[in-house]
Amino acid sequence: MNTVIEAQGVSKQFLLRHNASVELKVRFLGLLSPRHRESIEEFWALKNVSLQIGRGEAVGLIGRNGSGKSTLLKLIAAIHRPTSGRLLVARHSRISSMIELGVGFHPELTGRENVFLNAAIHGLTGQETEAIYRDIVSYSGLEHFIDVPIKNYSSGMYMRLGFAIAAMLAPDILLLDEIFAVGDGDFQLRCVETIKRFLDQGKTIVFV
Amino acid sequence: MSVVVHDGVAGAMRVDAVPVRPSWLLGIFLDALLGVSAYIVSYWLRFDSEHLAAFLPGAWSTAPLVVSTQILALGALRAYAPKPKTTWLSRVVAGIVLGTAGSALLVRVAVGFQGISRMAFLADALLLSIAAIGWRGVWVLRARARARALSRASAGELVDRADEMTLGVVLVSLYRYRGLIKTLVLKDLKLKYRGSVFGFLWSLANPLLMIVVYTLAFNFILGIRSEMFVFYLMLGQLAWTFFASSTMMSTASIVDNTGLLRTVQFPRAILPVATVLFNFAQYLLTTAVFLPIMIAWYRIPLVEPMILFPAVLVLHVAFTIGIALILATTTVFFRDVRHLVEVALAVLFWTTPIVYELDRVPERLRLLILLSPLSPFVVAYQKLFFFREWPDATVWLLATTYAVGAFVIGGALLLAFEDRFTEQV
Repeated sequence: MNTVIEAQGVSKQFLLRHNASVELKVRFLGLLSPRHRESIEEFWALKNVSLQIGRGEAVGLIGRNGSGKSTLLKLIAAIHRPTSGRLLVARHSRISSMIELGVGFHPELTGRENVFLNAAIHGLTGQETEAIYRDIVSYSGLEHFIDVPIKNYSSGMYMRLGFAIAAMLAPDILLLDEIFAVGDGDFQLRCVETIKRFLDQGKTIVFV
Repeated sequence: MSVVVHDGVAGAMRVDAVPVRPSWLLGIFLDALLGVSAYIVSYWLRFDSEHLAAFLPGAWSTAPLVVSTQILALGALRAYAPKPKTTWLSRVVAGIVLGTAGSALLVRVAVGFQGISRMAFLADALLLSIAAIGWRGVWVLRARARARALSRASAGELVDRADEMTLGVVLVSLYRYRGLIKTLVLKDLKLKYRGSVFGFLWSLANPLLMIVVYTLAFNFILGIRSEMFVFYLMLGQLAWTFFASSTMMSTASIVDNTGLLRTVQFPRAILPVATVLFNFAQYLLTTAVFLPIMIAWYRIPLVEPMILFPAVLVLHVAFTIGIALILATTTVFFRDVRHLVEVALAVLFWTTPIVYELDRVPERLRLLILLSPLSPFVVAYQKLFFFREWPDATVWLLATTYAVGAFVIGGALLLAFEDRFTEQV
């Protein structure tokens, strides 16, 4: 099997700061009353997780809220660093992710401008984006709204544009975070089709 | 796929293959070398060539005392410890400041201030701080690049994506991500005037209005005879606006882009760099319009020194980017930085020779004003276009030191803390 993602004993610790504040005033209050005192809780989102995902696999992560699924996705996308252990990804693979969908969008910009901004963040040059721009628009079905500032979009439209970009970036690894939570039936159907097509092309998908 | 979940936490797997700090002997040697240079250079900055000859003997004779006191102070604050704590930055600065103050005291007790420049101690502390932090920053970056190269080599086909972020890679990726930088800069330019009727014309209207107001205020109300004064003022003012708005905006460049940080991995340095370049684009545009107009209006002859304009611009931008990287990184951890910058800028405006001429400053304080962070650049612009002379070597030296120092320190700082941004914002 050709491994593309490998986690070697990965753990991720977050520090939960209750009453977090660096403010002097609050610190002073903390001396007087325990209600204002800061307490730091060590929270292990992931403990010693090892896994291997091969090329062309579609892996679903199942678990309760807060069980660390999204954290693992973020570790794969290298948005977070593991506290211990190593997380390895195949060299030169393009990862496109839909984690916290569409937050990379800028509300004041139009759909078109956001497509270019988002593609640029993923490392595409202007010409490369130009080449896939038509596909993105037709895939999202937002031809009519593409020159409208994105702040006027509905959450479903947000979602469609985000997914269209993620799908058209031709990633080697696609990370999807709860994309079936929003969007109408038609959109979900389209997602499933795209995922199937990706798998046929030997791409790797991890979803939550 | 196979999943293995154990209980308990695996031990730290990261191997530190390269020491993050050179041996203390090499550290002391480098600091001593830089200490002597900084001390002598300070005298050179303080005095013009006539007086310099009179003061240099005093400088050389006190140099051993000064430098050894500085190194003792650094050692006392454990700046040469093999495993530096995260506070090493403040330790180095504190060590140098204390060492310099102590040595000034010693010099005063031992030989008195006859033939010794007090101002030079100040310049010495500043220059040595930049140099000492600078070479340590370079060392950290180098150690980091090597450690990551090692872990990359051992990993084979699979790589840790975050390991790819070294200074070299970031510099390359600034080029690779030029599309993103361009898009970010254009986005900001578009958004700035979106919805306003005059749009981009505001960028030009602002300096124009400023010229009118200054001309009225200085020539007619204050009765300053020199017509050229407004030209002098505008040279400094435009350069100042670029720096001030860059630093103000850069404090927010990372903390205000939480959405991006939490969804995509890309070199974080791009955000502050794009902010500075956005301001630089505006600076260039206004300069491109106003400089020719003013030159034509005041009938200023074109002279050879003006060809150095691009060189000053490059240094000025490098310095501003360095400061922006420092401010963007520190704001993530201390939101106070934003307010501090506001106050600092207000002070800085008056310690920079924008409204007044450097040569009118009392001779003893001139070095102090010249050491102010933005002064070398502003003075260089004024020399080129107002006085139409080649800028002095001292100006070049300071401008280069500031630019390179800020750039290296900013880069090292951002790379060191980059991993923690996402969790902190």
